[in-house]
Amino acid sequence: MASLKAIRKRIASVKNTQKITKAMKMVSAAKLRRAQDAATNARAYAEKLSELMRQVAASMSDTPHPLLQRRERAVGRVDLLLITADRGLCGAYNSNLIRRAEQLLADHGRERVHVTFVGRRGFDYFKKRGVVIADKHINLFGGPDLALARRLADHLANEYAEEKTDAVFVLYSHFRSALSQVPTVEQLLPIVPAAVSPEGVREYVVEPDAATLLDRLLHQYVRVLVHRAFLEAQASEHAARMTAMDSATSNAADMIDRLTLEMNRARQAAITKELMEIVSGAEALKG
Amino acid sequence: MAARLVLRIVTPKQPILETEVQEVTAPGTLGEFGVLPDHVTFLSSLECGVLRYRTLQREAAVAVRGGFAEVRANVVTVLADDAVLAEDIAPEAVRSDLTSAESVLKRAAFGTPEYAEAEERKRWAEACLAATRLRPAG
Repeated sequence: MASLKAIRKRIASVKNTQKITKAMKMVSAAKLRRAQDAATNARAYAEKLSELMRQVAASMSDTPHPLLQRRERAVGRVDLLLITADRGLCGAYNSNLIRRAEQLLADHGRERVHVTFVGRRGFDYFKKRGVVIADKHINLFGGPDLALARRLADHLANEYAEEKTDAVFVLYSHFRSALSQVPTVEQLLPIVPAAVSPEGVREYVVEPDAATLLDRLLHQYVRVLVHRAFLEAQASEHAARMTAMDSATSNAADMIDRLTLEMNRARQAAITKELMEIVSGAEALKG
Repeated sequence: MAARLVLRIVTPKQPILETEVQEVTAPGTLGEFGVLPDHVTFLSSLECGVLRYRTLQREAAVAVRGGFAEVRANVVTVLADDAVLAEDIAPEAVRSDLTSAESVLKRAAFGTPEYAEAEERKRWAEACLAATRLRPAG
């Protein structure tokens, strides 16, 4: 059995760890709330934009836009935008995403996928594993934002329009609830607008003209999709970290209980031993 | 009773405004357009500029950057990349933005991404300033 002093030291160190995990949990809870608010605030815009995009795309269906067109002749390259966290200590959040990414790489052929990394964890994992690194955005203070979404979306849309790539996917963690985040692959390009029923098509008077408008709507739509993936990913990350830190805190509590028990037992054993020594010493003197 | 018109302004970050108005004037790509109740179903892209609206009580201005406007069933929905109510604009901050953008424009070469970015910043700052000027005194 470990000595009394050693056990006391362990308890103190576990208590310190517990303080840290508890603080991290509370920080993540606050950040999660903020991330959820941001996602809710962004929803109105995204919904309206995709509605307008669908309307205009439906009215222009006879002259398809490059971003809507599927490749007829494949050029043999697909792009993946992989969104992971910059930091760890968030349970299986990053490894779930990485596993899903590996699967996607296997499906499309590893050397054909050009990966754009957002978040250090994904990049660190893949940098020595033979994938084509198209671009990386890591160690982002405050997480990926709208400006980055814009830049990445515009770049990927250009690559697609110039027929350099057959399809663009985004892989991020979908925020289902504080307890459940699901790695999700979405096709970014070509855009597949949900069909509008013929009677649902509205007759707009448009300015400047439908083609220009559709072009602007589609580019904006890609940006919004990327931005939404960022927001979902951030909410998921904070939720995952909160859950992980919560269970770490309760594990630490269990450990402290166990160690306290062990310590008391050791203390009791020491007392008993001393008593026995005294008693047997007295017995010997009696002789 | 006259038909009512509702103005909604949303940005990718958050909804900015939803209010009942009498009239809206917005900076369309082909020039400013005005909307009164019972306007035809209409869709336009927007430029960086000032959107004005009039309610029963007052006239107000909003600086908007790009985006789209839809007019349908007496609802004007503005999807702007960015939008700020005139009363929320701090002219000093905007002016310093404008000066910094102008200084970049002076030294950057035309056609570079840096130049384009500064030009956009300048346009946005000018739109913000224009919006504050339309703000009624007091």
